[in-house]
Amino acid sequence: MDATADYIREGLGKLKGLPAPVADWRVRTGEDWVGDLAVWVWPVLAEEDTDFDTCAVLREQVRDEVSRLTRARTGEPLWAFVRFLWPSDIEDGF
Amino acid sequence: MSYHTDLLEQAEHLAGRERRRPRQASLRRSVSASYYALFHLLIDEAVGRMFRGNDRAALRDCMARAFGHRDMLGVARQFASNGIAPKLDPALNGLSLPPELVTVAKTFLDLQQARHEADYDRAARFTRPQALELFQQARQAFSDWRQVRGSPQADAFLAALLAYGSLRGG
Repeated sequence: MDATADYIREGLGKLKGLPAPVADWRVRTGEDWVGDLAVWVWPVLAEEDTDFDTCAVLREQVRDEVSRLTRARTGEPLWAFVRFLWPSDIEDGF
Repeated sequence: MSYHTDLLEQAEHLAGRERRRPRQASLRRSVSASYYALFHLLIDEAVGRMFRGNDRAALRDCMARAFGHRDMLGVARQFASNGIAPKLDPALNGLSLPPELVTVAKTFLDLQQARHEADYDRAARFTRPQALELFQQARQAFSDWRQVRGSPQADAFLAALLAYGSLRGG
């Protein structure tokens, strides 16, 4: 059970005013390639035609929120790697 | 065409292969190429600023070997978070970081981690849109870099990518 991931997922679910609708949030914590704690977020986009510019704005919002949430929980902000999933990806089994 | 622009083009090509069912091998190589495109752009810019002229090409190639992924990560983290370490801060001479440079640093972090997963984590899976998005992030970083190249802050970034670990003080 990844309690921090659950906490972040819950926090992301409360975000308002996103530039694109998000159907679900997948979150996990772990170590990056140099062994430092980090967060991976996969926003599951609700609309297939969400474009790159919109994703770029959403990525920054997610990153800021993860930083805020992790700082509030542990005192140390964590970096978030944000990778999007589109509806067709979910249909393909991702 | 330069090596880094060739790599960027290759990243897009590989992400678009196998129209119906892309192979993970193609997508992973695309992700890796996106990272290396930005990696080599920054190194090319750094050694190009240090040693100009055709007769310095061998020296530039030699110095390019001095850049390390881990050291570059440490510097990119500082620029991405606007948290420049005290020993590097004087190099900025009181100037704030342009947002385009911050974006380049953030993209470097994203691509570097993705490249590590693509090259070494056999359990990782990438989708075509993800590979294309990472390519687009790299392409945007190329564009952002053009906005800031030659600025004092960009030069500080390049110098730190090479020598931050050797700086004393702070």
